[in-house]
Amino acid sequence: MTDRSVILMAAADSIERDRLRDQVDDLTTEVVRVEVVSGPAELRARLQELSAAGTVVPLVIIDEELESADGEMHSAATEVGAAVLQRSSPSAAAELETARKRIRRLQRTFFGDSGLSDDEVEEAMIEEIDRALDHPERVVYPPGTILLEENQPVDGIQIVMAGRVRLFRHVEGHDVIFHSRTAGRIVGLSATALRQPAAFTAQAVTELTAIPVSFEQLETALQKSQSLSIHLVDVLVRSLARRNLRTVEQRVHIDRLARELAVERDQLANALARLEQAQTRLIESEKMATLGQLVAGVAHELNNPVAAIERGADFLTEDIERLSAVHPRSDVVLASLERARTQAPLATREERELRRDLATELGDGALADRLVGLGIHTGAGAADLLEGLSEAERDARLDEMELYYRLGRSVRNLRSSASRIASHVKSLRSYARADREKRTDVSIEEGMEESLMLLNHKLGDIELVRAYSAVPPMTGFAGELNQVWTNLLSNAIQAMTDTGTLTVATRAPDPGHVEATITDTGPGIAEEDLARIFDLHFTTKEGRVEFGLGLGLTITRDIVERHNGTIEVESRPGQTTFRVTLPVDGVDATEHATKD
Amino acid sequence: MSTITILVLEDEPEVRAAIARDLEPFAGSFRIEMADAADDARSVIAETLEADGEVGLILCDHLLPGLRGTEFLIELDHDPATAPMRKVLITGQAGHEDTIRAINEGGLDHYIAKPWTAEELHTVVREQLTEYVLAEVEDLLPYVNILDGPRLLEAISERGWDR
Repeated sequence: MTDRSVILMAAADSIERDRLRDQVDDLTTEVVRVEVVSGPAELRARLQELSAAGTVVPLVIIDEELESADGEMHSAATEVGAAVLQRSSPSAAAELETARKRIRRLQRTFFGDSGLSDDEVEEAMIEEIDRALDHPERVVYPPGTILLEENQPVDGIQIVMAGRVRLFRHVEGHDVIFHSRTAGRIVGLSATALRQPAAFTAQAVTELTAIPVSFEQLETALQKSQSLSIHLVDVLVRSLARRNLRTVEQRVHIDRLARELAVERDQLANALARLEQAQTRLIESEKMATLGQLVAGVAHELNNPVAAIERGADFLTEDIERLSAVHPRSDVVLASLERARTQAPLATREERELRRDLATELGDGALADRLVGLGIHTGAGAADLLEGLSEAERDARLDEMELYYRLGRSVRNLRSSASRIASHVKSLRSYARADREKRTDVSIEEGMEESLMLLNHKLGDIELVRAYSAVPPMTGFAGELNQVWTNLLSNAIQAMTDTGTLTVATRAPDPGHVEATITDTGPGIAEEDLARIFDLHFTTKEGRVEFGLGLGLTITRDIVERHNGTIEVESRPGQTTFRVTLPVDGVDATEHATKD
Repeated sequence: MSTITILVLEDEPEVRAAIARDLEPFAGSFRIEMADAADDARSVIAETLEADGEVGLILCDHLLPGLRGTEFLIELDHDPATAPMRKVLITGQAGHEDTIRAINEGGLDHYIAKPWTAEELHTVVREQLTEYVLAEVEDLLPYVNILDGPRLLEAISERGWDR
């Protein structure tokens, strides 16, 4: 390690030397050592050498015996900024103390010791300046004084002794204010050191006491004091380090702000998407509500005539029975009426076979046709009725029986058609939930069947496979869930266009859940579409919307999620499965259907 | 002379019974056969042709299990054996496109919307059977009373003059 600091000691003899050395013994350390010179000439030469090598001489100890009357050695020492210790001097103790302080500071600076605060380093520098420039004048600036201006050349530094300085920079019409710790107490130092124009404007906030040090003065001082340059570098390094740290902190801060902004932007985008979704849902539920009212109205209108038809059919039966009671062969005609009312219609093929068989048996095709038409399928049955009758009597009997048979058939058909209408009306009402939607126990299978009934006319040649297993009912909104089934079924049917197999299945994967799957054998969903199939506005149907149906998979998913369930899709060419899993507990009591 | 058959293809028994009842005025002069599915209708046609009979008219529902009525009518029109048959669609639900296609591809002679009236059905059946006998039957006289008498008589007199 090169010398950083040397105490020069000028002593005539060894006894005096040892005595002086004792006094500074505590000052010598690894970086400060004591060197002895014998007289003024040697002192001067050594001072020059050390100065040239950049070594600081904080203290020169002069034996009073050696000092000449004009104080030649004293001047030489003070010229390089060293403290001078003369045993005979009245201020010897104070000077020694100053020397000690300077040496300690130097030691700590050399070691890069962080124990020295910024203030202490700045203090030390001010001291060195004072020493080198013979205590330059303190200037008082009023508040608002511009000490240096952004982008203007700097001709010196300002050492602030008291008061506060504000640093700012003009950016796009705004003053960006810097943290006061960015510069510290020495204003213009980095600009001076880097030979650059000021990076910002420095302005006095309060009244300011400062030492203006011009560039020339600084040069002079630096030449005079080695330790000043060390402190100056230290101050500069610290200042730059502070600025660097500040920049890093700001960078971190900006990053955090950017992240927060990104999060907020995402939240906003999310909120917008949710709003749009809510809007669509409102529109859809409005449509469903309208559909529900429509259906409820139509159902009401239909129920009255249906009831009249059903009742009318019953009354007809009663009245016909009364009329027949007075018929001379009431047993025969009533039996015919009863057969027509109670026998299930035969398949046409079966009926033809019966006619053929009976024709063979009786040897009379026309008679066989009439008998089978009367629900009499055997020769024995025919014999019971027609035994012993002439051909004319037989025809008259058959005519009469046919009349009553047709009456019975008509009554039966009236009844069965009316109850079919009634059941369709019931399904429609239940599907559209004309009633206010309440949480109920919902059967997934029933909902699926109601939806299938509505879509039956769309099935065409598509084969329907039902694979229901016994699943417990779940708590939910039946009308909303019907929308789910209708939508998924409608999509599946549409995917297959004309032919294929539609499979609907239910099962309970565990006691707490029910699962419904709807599988089609259509072309499948492209992989790039699969990810966004539940997105709002996504459709492969060229924007085609069908009233009340095809509510969109977003709504479908919303409904499933409101029931605390999940919906998944698996697709490959030729097989697409939508799987809806619902907890048996379904919706919470606090949830309300969108219609409410 | 063999009896001409009217074939009704309808899968719902109640509707089938109602059509059968409304066709009763024709029952004296025509044979009326019922089928509840396309396959069964094919059997009836095959059996009729085998027995040297002829099916002059089919009344066909549109929504049938496994097949559209229009498809079936087109199928019949493409077979020379069944092409002369008059073909009527009777339905509440044929889509516009299905019907257009059936007309364009020659399968369809008339369209009856459900619910129908007896009068409407009688008119259509009478007209279509008249067309059939004019095109396919030599002796028109037995049909003068039951079908479109004036047209048939006109045709008889024209044919008579030709001879």
